Amino acid sequence: MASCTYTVPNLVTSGDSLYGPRICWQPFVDWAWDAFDFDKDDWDDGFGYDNVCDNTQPLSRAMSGVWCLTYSSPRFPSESYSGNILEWGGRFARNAIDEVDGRCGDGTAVAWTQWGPFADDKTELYLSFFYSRSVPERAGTLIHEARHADGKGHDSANRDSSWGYNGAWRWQVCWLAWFAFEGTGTTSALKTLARQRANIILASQFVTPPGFTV
Amino acid sequence: MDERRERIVCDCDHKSVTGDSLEAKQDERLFDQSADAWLLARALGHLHADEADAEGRHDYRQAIELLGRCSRASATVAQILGRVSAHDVPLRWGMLHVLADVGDRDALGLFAEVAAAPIDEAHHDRRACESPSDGERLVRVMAVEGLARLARGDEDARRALESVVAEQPDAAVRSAAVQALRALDPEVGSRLAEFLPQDQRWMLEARTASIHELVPEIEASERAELVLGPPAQDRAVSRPQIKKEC
Repeated sequence: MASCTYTVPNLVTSGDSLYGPRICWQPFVDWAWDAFDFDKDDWDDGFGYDNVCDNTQPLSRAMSGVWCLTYSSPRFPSESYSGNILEWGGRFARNAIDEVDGRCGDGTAVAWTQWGPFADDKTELYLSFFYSRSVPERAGTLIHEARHADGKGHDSANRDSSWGYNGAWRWQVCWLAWFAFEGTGTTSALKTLARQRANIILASQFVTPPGFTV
Repeated sequence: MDERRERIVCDCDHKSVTGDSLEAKQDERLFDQSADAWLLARALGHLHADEADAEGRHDYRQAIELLGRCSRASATVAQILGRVSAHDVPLRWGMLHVLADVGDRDALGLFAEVAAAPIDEAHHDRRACESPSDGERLVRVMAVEGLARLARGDEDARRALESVVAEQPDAAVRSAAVQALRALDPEVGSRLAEFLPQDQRWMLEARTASIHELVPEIEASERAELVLGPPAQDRAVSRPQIKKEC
């Protein structure tokens, strides 16, 4: 077991002041807990199990990412795959991700997913995820990790060879772009941030650049 | 900025069976130093007023207007950026966003300095996909956007953007600067080409994708069953209840 410390960051600029109160709703917590297979042992000891509504702690902040992923489509409750990824991304993620674990990490990664035969399928979320990412970015990371949990890794170290590879980076860009385009219950600044993050991925995470921006 | 990076110390087993433990510590108060800092905090406090919060959005615009009248907005942001934790990327980004909304030309130097600053990749776990250094890119891209807004009608800001293209080796930040310059002058490509290695020349011809192109390909086998649907947000619970006198 590792132990770590964190500094409480600004709660407004990350979006946690906006989304945090929304997750403080027992039906949502109950649903998300089961849907993403959170376990007490992975979220106690300071990670927020004892106070899920405390938006300074990792569990609330993870839940905010799940909330953003789930409710940002203007067409909710539709989660039809005939719609766009903003509409069905949450559905895909909760079905693909086997379990979500809160961990300290060592400061060099944001999240990590393990999958495959004979593997203990899981997604670990680290301090950078909770404390250096805004809420929409966390939702984008959940889509990214869900694509891995679904069995699609990267094909060029931790990058994708091309847009056509249809990997986790493409899926993350698509979600962030649709959030920026028509996300609801959010702010213009967070949409700007999502658009910028999508363009950062487009410029840096494809061996053959897709050749466009969003 | 990167010299203030705080190491997260752990004696960790990456694949621990039981959970980790976490303790919080409070950061220093950043916005108590001056009236300008207080005003900046007020703007930041309303930065994420959502579409339903008309009063919050009004308060944000009011704070931006007042910051625009004070002469030390840029210097205040610079000072606080020098003290804030490097890990608090959203706060650093937010301050630059506020400064971009203020539109004060005094911010040009700060935007240029931030945008051109090198990114330290030394602490990236190469096995992991996303990296903490992504946040450094985001901060620099917001600084580029600040320059882009000033560059409409300001040659110094335009030259600052060209300096970012020339000096910033990071592809994502460089691309943001190239796109900003192309938006100002579609013919700028010939001037910028000399600064770009061959594998980055695509930036000179990048187009803006239609949102409807941004579709992941999902196989029928990947389309999961609709089980465990999320609860609908129950508006009835929040409706005021009329009490009846018996």
